[in-house]
Amino acid sequence: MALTDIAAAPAVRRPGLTTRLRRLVPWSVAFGMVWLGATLFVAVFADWLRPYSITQMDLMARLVPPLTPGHLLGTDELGRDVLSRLIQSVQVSFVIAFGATILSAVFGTTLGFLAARFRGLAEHIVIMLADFQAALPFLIMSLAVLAFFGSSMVLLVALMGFYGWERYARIARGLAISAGAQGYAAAVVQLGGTPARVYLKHILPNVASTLIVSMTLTFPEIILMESGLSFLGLGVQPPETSLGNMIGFGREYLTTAPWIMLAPAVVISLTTLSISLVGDWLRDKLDPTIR
Amino acid sequence: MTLDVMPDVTRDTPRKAAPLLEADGLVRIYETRKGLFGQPVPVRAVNGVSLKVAQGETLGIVGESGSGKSTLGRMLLGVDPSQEGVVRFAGAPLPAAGTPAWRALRAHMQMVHQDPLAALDKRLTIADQIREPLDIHARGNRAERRARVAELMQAVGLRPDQAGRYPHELSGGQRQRVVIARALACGPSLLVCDEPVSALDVSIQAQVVNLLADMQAANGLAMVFISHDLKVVRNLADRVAVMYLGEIVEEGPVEAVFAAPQHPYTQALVSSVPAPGKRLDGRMILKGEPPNPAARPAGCAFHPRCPHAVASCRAEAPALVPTAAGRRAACHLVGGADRLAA
Repeated sequence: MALTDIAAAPAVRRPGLTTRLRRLVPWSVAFGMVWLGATLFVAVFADWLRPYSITQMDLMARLVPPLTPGHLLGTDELGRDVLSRLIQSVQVSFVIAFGATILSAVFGTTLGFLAARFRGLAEHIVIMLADFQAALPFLIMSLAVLAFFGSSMVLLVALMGFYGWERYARIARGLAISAGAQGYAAAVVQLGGTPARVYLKHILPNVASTLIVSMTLTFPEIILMESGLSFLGLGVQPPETSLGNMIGFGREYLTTAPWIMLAPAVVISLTTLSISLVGDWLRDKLDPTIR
Repeated sequence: MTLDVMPDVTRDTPRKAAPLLEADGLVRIYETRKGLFGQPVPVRAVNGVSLKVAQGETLGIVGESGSGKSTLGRMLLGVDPSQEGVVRFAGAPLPAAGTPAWRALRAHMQMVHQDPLAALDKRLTIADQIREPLDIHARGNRAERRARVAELMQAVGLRPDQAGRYPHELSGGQRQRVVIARALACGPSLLVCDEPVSALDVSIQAQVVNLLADMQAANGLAMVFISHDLKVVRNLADRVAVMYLGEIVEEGPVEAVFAAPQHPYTQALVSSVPAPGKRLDGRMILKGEPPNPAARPAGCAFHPRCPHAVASCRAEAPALVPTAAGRRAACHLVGGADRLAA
């Protein structure tokens, strides 16, 4: 109930409600929510918000500084509007980072729970896969896959999604095994609950806090990983753009035109910070023992 | 301990109904490993236990820590498999744990755990948890389930306004009431209580014990009550089985066993209960600790601590044989020969 109130908050501007909200969430969390909401809005409506096309060049106005009329955040070395490219980048990076984070969390947690449920051979196989994944330098594997199949958005999301799964698998397996040894899971088994009920309705909510924290760590990692791949020319292909891609290409103009790089860097920092703040807050809110 | 001696015993018990629960020669062996490369050492936690519980009857199981009481309780419910022997519930052997048949049977046999806080999911309200067995076993529709939860909460003495509370917001006694309400939700015919009051304050213990007695009387359920508290067992149980090192050493009607214990171990247990106004003189105080179940003494497992031990106790393990009306004991000095260890 609290969540829907907060989501509806920006639209309603009655003083009574804002005072009540301020009591409900600390300002740092409120900032995180507003920022995430704004970025999400930008990501969804990027096509309508962009003042220019991302490829539209204005060679007469190359490397103009921010706050120039017509180019709020300045332009890059080809005279392309930084704001337009930033909006497009937010969309691309969010699709990759959210998609990959959710993919890795779901895949890893499922495998971890399966390992904890069946133990024995299934557990050995999952742990072996996780070790294999951890031992293999991910960048090299990505390079190989992307070099063979070419870069596409779907492939990129899938690849990034397989980056973080081993951590979730280990965490989920360990937590599920220790939860299974605790009374509440054994009690539900003893009540006649099916394994699906025990794992999804009881163990998952009880271990979710750790997984949520892990997700807030994976999210920025994936944005940075995508930047690395884009920088190597295997991630998002120009003229398409992403936050990492913009930083990679803006690097050369760091001394002369820092705004090209700073704009996406600020977006990455604020987004990851907001995710941590909101994630922490959400974890505490979801735990009835901390109130 | 074998089936052929059992009918003689049950014929003399007050209740003549066919047994609801029947255990025959249960054995549970755990393997412990000493060191990294050590040979696994088998530990016989439960060593050939046979017992019967009739409909509506309460069987108390008493014994020291590590005597295998809790393991036996879990085996009676089929949670832990038995390596040897069989448990029959209403005449049919228990299905293997985790099978759909076993899960369906949970509606008829339930457990009350020792630590109610650990047994409850801290993220669900108590009404949700009491409703859970009804959801699992698909009893009634939504409104009927809600009505049943309210009825159960009232029956165990929880206020309706506590329905939305979480386990950590309740006291220990209230949590145990929640666990009892949840266990009774589907109307089971057997309840195994594993030390249900030992984690509670003494002032709360009596309330919970009375609640269990009331629930049993109201629902006519059979109960296996595992405890190390002899007074509680004496109040609640119809019959009592005394366990020592994974074996039943004495069994019989609770008043008879506690008034005139036959096995030396039971005598020691009974005399260890403090009574106000009585001095400690003349009490039988056991020396030493129960032996390691991994290194079980030869012959009678109790002989190293038994004040009456004779040569045959060291050589041969006594069988659990009928000694008097409805009573059984496993001691060379009791029974056929009239050498009651008094």
